[in-house]
Amino acid sequence: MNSNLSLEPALSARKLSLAYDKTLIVNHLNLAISAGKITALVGPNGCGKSTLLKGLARLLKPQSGTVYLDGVAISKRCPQGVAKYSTKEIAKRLGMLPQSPVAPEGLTVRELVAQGRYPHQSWLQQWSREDEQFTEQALAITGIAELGDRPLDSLSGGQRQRAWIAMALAQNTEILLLDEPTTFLDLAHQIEVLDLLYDLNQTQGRTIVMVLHDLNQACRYADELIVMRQGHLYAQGTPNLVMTETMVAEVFGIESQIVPDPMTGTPMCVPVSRKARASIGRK
Amino acid sequence: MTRNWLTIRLYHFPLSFQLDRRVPWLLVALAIAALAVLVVSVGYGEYPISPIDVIRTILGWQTDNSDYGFVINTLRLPRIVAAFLVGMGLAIAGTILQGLTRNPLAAPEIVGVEAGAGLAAVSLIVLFPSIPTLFLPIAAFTGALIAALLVYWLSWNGGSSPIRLILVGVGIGAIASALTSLMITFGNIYDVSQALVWLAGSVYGRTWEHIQAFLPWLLIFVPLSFLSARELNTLNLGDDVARGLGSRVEWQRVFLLIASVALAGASVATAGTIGFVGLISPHLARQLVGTSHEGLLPTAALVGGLIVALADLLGRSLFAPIEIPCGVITAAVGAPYFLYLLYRDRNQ
Repeated sequence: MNSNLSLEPALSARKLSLAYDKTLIVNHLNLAISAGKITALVGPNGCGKSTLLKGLARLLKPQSGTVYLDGVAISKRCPQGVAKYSTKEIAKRLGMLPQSPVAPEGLTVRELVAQGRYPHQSWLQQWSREDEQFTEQALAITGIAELGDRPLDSLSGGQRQRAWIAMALAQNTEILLLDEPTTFLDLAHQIEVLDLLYDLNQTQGRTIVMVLHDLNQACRYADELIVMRQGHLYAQGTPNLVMTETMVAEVFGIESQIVPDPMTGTPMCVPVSRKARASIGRK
Repeated sequence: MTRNWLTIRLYHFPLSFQLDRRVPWLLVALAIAALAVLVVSVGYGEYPISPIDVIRTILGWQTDNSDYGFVINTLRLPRIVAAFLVGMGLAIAGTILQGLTRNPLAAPEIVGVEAGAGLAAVSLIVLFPSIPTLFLPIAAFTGALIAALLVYWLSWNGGSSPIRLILVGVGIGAIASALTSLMITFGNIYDVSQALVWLAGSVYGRTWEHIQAFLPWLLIFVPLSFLSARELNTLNLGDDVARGLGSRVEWQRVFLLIASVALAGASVATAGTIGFVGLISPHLARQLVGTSHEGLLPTAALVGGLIVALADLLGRSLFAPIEIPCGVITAAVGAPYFLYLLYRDRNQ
């Protein structure tokens, strides 16, 4: 896949409102996601970041507004006369990994990864040379080729998450959306998964959008941060620009200090807690 | 690509698929077992016939006894073929339901589909005794569909939890059974006795006419469900993943539900409510060939056919000359298995 460095946004939303039943979660949001970059969606619990990601991946029908992929509408509800992709065409360009997906009992790693080829297959053409090639490649890139015949439920959390990412890779899309790819993983596996995503972005130029909980990891890995608060876009920009003490105070409601990450120089948020204040007082 | 998979790919035509390596061998083995059961079952009875003569008669060759033709082709063969086909239909219906709901406990007899089909069929037998057999599957399908839609509507809450689906299914099943009993008290004695035998799940007295009414349903929905194997694999990963992969989830779900209900309904119309076949067969098949539906569906179908054919043979031979309906046999084996699955699920 060629790296796409044009300034055209890969994915954008216009006046997007998303709701579960009648509860409005995301309200009139405008957004553009740059091609070839890593974007991290951050915000407190319940701010609507996962909902927004689902909306961008057309898993949730918008209450109003439209999502555009390369300038073409992909939402089910879109203005009349606007060009539209079918759901399979979208799946060839945009992959989505939901939060902690569950595979059926006994499914092997290779079977799961091969599922990523679904949008490229048809009733007759169910396992082409290309399907096989991309499946093997995805297994190799994620470093789980030797686990191919193992059932998914016999793997560690980190290996399992890599298998799901491999499935999304086999789909061979320019854009990859991931909802908290590091949840339930220990620190070593978190770094392993984030490094893998970083490599994919660097070597293959894939656009990556992910929801992350850890602000410092977001700053380290993302080219751009999107900060959400109560269903609205609070700020968008490079970590250096967005990550301020004011932002952390207004969005997360805690006092903090922003210091440079000793390893990368990217901003790092150190929260001020009652405990920290007490320690300072004692000194 | 790997030792576990068999890839079939044509050079000049865009056709390709892959199968678990175990599938072709197992299908052959199961088919041979099924034929063996058929021959033994046809030969068995108050008037025993040797396997050689059974084979000769079925193939239309000359035998020394002119009665064999009548006993085999008119009395015994249709019954045993019906048992096998009904088992196939129920097993496929169960496999689809389990894949569709991602619920290992789902099966047509558990979620009320069989009871719904039974109610509709009994109503037809009692209210319109003179109606031709051909209409029985249609009535059963309608009843099964109504039951399925009710269960789906009442238990679907943005996804279905296994236990919720079972509970609602059992509830709908109980209501349908109660209404069936009510129907029976109102019917005249001859129709009722006929309905009762049929309700217990028996292939007693099935004729070629019944098979003729059943066959079109199999011929339409079995190939359609095999073609949807890939869709079931995708749905099995959950709605969000399936949607992300470009599957039209709602549409697929409706289509597969109709296929499952049609197969279950037509099976019930043919042989009554034979329980637990739709539940057990997919589980056994999964043990044999794994979770991929391309291999799972045909394997489960043959396993289901074999189970019902064996249950019928057992029912006829265990306490001969008294005959136990095959539905009683499958329930005696299946109910403990269901409890085991519930127990295992609880401990996960």
